[in-house]
Amino acid sequence: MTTAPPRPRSRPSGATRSGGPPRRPAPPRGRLARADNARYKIGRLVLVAVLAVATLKLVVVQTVQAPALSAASARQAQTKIPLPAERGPILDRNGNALAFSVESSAVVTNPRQIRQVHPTDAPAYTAAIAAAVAQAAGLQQADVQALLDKDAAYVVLAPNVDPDVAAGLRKKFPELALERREDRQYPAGDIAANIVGSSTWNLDTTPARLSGRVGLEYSQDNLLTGVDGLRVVDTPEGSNNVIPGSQSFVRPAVQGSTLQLTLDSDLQYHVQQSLSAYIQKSGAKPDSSVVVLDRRTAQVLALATGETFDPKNLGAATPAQLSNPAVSNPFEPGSVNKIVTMSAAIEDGIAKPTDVLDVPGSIKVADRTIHDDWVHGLDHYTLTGVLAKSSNIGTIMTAQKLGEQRFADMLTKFGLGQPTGVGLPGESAGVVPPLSTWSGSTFGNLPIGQGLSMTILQMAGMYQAIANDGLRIPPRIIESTTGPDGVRVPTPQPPGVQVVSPQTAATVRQMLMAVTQNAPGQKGTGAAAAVPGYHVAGKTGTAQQVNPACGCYYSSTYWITFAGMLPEQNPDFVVGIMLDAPGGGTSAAPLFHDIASYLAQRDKIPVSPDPTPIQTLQIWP
Amino acid sequence: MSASVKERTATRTRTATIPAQRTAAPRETVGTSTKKAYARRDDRLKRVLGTGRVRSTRPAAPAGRAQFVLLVMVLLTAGLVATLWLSTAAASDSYRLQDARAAAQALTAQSERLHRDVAQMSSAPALAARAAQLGMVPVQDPARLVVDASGAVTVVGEPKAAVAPVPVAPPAAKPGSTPAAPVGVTAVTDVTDPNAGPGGGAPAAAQAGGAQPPAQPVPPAHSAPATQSAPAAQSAPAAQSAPAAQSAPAAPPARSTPPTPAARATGTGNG
Repeated sequence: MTTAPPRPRSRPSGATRSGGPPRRPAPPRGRLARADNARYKIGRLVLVAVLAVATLKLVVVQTVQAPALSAASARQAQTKIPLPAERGPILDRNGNALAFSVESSAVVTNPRQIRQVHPTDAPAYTAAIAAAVAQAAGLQQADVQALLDKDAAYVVLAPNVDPDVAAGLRKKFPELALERREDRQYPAGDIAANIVGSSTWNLDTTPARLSGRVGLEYSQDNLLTGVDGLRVVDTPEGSNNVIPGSQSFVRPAVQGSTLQLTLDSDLQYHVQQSLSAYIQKSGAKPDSSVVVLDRRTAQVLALATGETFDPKNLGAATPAQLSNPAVSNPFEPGSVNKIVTMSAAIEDGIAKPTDVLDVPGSIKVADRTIHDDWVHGLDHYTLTGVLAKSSNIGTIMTAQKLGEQRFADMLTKFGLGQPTGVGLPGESAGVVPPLSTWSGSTFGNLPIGQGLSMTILQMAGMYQAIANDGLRIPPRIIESTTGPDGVRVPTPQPPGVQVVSPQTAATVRQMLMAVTQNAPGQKGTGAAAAVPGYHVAGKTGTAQQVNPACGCYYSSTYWITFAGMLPEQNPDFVVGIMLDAPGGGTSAAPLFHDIASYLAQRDKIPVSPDPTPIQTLQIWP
Repeated sequence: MSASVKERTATRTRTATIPAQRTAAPRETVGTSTKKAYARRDDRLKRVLGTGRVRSTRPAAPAGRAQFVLLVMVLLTAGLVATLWLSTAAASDSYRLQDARAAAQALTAQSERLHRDVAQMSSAPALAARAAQLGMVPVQDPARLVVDASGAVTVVGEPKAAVAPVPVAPPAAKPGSTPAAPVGVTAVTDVTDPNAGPGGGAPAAAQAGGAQPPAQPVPPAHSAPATQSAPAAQSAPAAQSAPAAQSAPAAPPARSTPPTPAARATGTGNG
């Protein structure tokens, strides 16, 4: 282009010279040319002025107004699309889902607008909508119709509809709108509901999301909830369509972590069924509970309470159903606590299982007289017999040989008076009176399991120590968490406490085996807990409940407890049972038998080859 | 602008050469001015065809420029066509993408639904319900065959038919009267104690609906005290009776004298 101008001029001139006819006559020159020049000058000036104005405007637009204008343009064109993070699932130890999320849509509408759009046929039209929505969402048509008849600008007709079904509804009825939601599924229903808890759609957060309301869903909410992502794209005004290639920013969502529990949902189901059946039978209160621990790791395999709820229908649950009394309600354990005295006595060499104690009909501790549960004169029981027959007097005699200090130390070593840190919300530590506050008669109460309280986890933890060769490991219920990076992080096993030596633990296990023996004249208190073919070690307990009105004990309301392990030689499981105020004469031993028998079958525990040895409990004159 | 003019000129020149070549022979017969004109034409012809001496560089330029311009035009056209084609392709691809997204979303929804169904049907309560529907019964205390090293088989436990548990918690079940069939709980003492076994027991207790008629005597319900009295009778009087009495052993001492501080302590613990 730059070289072009000279050429056309040279060519015609050459042609003229060579004799060709001139294309155009030369312009006339003179006065007219001068006038043109002036016009040109003015024109130029005007142009320059216009150009200057344009430049000025350009500068103003490009610098001064630039941020505001581009923001306005972005407002008009750009859309921030949130990328919702999915809430992490809760699994049992075998990977079965206890809670997980699925995408769903809430069908919402504006009833007022429907009436405006359909002034004449509104009733028929809303009826058609109600029928379709009710059918798609599994709701009552009358309920949906009632919502549609409301004089409101916004109603949620169905909170959780499958997205494709909802999209079909919207296609059919353009007045319906869809909102993205996350539907929390609890495939096992009320199984482990007290532990897992429940989460519901929370409209108070921005953006709205699933929020945990009770249980682990609540206490682990931060872990389960991910971080929402964001995508900034251009969309044509008034449309949701994304202009291809217009994405200017994206931050991917960080999905919620996966929570794997130590629970075994099959076992949990069985334990929960057995417990509720037994509660039904015995008339115990619904806060009765059962725990099954793995002996080696102290992981909670099952933790059931008598009352549970449907996590999908949180509104219908009572506060009592939502609570988890297994961790929040401590109770007095009764004779189950005698294991503390016995372990310490064996460990310290104060007594041997075969030592014979002359047990009188009553014993005086400070200002109180303590009896056995059955009336007797001077009887001769072995130390094993004292435990197996649950003699209060024999236990207190042994504890007195032990001394208060040692006994108090042992309570601490067994983990009483301190929360286990199992990982469930609202855990109680139980109450163990500090040694400094003991009155003279306190030492007549604590060895037989009155005057102190513990949760069922603490109670099972004591027996876990005996089952695990003296090494007590605080129980845990969260096995691992898997973050959005897919890396599984196992919950570290808490450090163990060596309560007694392995030899002592083995000796105490053998003594506990006598509790379930049923020989003529040598019958233990927990014979009903025995499982044919297996050596079962355990201990029954009965504790009077406290009457809050008078601060005294009820005369006929008990906590019935049982703690045991199977098989005795090398236990796999530790089971703790607490029945709250069952009918008179109820023992927890049959329930233990039921659970232990199931465990033995399920885990194919080899039967003990030799029959259960009969131990001498009482020396008959 | 100038390019098109030049091109037009070049074309005209070229077409003119063809008759000139044909009429090259009678060139000698014409006059001098005409000769001059012919010479000029020859000169131009040589320049265009590139036959004669290529001494002058300037006249060669228009031909190269034309090619260049042609090339640019072709490129521009190609670019325009390519842009058009790409943008149409992008638009149609975006529709296909949209369709594919919709399809993927539908498949995701389907997979989620299936996943949910599988999770629900493989959950413990659903499996238990299905098993019960099929007439399966949870077994209590199965007898086991133990094979020792020599190959001899011993039976551990007592084989007996499994009893279908009465559906848990039938509404308005008689609470106080005869406990219905064993609800998952049987009297274990029966099984282990040879004396109180099939002979001595009281195998009369209620039977489970008759759905699974047991071949053997139904184990008595747990609360039937008859079985407990059997061993008690033959042993010393001290080993008293039913476990009901025994299983509440630790209670009375405290009952007589309620320890007030302890009671207060547990009171707070319960609260």
